[in-house]
Amino acid sequence: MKYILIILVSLLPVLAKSQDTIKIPTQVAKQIAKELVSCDSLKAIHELTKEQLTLTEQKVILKDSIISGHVQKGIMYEERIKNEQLKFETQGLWVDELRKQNKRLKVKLVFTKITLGGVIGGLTYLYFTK
Amino acid sequence: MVKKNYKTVLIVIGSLLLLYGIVWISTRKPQMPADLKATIDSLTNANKQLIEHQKQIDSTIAANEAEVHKVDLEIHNIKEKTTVIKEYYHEISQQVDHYDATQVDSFFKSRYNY
Repeated sequence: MKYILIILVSLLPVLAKSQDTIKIPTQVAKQIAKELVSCDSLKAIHELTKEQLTLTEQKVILKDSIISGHVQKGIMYEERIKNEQLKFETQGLWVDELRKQNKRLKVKLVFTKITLGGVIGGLTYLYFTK
Repeated sequence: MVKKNYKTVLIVIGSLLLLYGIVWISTRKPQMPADLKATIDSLTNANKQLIEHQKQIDSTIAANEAEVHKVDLEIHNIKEKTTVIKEYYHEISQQVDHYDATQVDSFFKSRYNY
């Protein structure tokens, strides 16, 4: 009786194990194994995709920054064009003034010639009629 | 008669010199008015500042574009890794197709350590 008890106790783990084990056909086990491999593949790809997504978000932020830079540059170009137009208008006023002064200088030149001619002619006349 | 002419000539010369003086005074050396000059100078300075600012923006854009290039390379590497991983697991999946019962059992044993 004692020996029978010892044998039963020693077989208990084996019996317990056999109760926890299930039998499935090899084809089904293969299918499960294939699905597990697919799952592993998807997990790895998922990790890489998350990494790619993070990098793409960074790229979008950088591209946004580049676009806003170009927009700022565009606004500055418009300001520069406005300033150049104002400069052109201001210089136009000065050009008008210079044209007026040029006319006066031409008149001055004519008077200078007349004056010099008159003075030289008068002095010559006086020299010869002295 | 000569004296009369002499006086007339002197008067004419004097008149001409007087007229010349008036013309000379009325036609001074042309100078740009201070307000116009100040306006043009301020606009020129404003444009210079804008050009400098645009240069700074250009350098920022160039730095950002370099960063984008780096990120693109990293994304390219990830895509290559993804391809390698897909091929690796595809091979394993094909190997599993040819497993016998013992290999399937060892697959599960190595996976779940039982």
